[in-house]
Amino acid sequence: MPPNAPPITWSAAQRRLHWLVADGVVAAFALSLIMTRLGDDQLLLKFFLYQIHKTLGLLVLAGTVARLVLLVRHGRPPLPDSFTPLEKRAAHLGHGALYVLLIVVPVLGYLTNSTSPSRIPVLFMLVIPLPNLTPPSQYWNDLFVTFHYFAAIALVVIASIHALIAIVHHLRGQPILRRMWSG
Amino acid sequence: MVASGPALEHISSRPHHPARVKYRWLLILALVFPASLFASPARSAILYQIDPSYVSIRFVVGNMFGMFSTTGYFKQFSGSILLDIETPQNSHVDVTVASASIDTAWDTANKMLLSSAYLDPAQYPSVHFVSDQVVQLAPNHVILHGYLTMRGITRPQDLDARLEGYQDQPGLGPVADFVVTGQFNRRDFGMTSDYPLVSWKVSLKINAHIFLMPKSSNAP
Repeated sequence: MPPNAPPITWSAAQRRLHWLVADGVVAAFALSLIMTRLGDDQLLLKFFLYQIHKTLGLLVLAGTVARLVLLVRHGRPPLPDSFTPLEKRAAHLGHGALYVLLIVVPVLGYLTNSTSPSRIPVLFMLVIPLPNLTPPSQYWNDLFVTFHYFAAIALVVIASIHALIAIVHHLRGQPILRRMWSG
Repeated sequence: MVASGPALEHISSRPHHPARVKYRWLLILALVFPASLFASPARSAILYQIDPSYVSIRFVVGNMFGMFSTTGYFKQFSGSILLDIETPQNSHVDVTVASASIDTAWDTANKMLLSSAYLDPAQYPSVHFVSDQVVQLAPNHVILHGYLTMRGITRPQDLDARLEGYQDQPGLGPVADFVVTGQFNRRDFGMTSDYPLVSWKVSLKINAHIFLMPKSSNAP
């Protein structure tokens, strides 16, 4: 049930999940830069890096769903009063875009895998195979690879801006970074 | 569409069709060197040319200790099957497969399989199987003892052949469906890369749809 008055701070679960999802995005993105550059002479390493990337993607997806549930049930602390209405609007828009992309990018990643002619399953945690829900299709695979790529770029760019703004506000003495860090 | 055991019994219960009775014994998938035709006294043997439109050669490898698997096909091959009605052990198989025609529907795997670590068609353009001895285990089941040559290495290879279906098609005569299976260890043929991503064991499955009434040009 949404509380009538917004909470003063983030819950511990919300804070932990925020940083876990952030770490997952950073790690999955870093891995993607390495794994896509490996040649076929390093196929086993490539296979493992892709599988870790896929596992991270699923964890990001699960973590984001959990965060949205907590957001609805617990609410969120208000933006500082020092924010102008425009800044508040931009902040909500940016956060909304981040939530959407945190869902969309892993889903597109799954669809990329599922439509791949390779028929390599997602092995969650390297051992639990997930079913491919689509038939293989080079056409759709090419499309999903492109969508996944650009959505991931958008996610990383917006998340970087999000981090940068948080740091700038922190340096100016706003408590927004501190309250996400330690409540 | 494919009739199995009972249909064969049905056919064999009609001895006034001698040709069909004979086919009860046509349980051997065999490809033949023409030479073996002359080597055998086989007046009862019929030589069939392999038609890739009606035959598929599939292989399956396990990946990551069997967590998933990869299937591929050979698209181009030729050869012949000598089916001996009276004495199945006189039957013979000889098939030559174009190494470069391997296809898994995945470019990365195709490139891998065409590389020097695998089939290396530039150096070894064909894969070859020839039977040496045919042993009948049951009316619908034989073992083909033979030799498989890949990457210039020849090793003994057994294939298990079963007649899985039999039907009479109007205008085409009797048609038999054979399923041939076998397996080999790719290390035996010098393909030692990518374990455990690719299992050592390679399984073969060949489906052959054979029109038993030979065209006159195919008859010996």
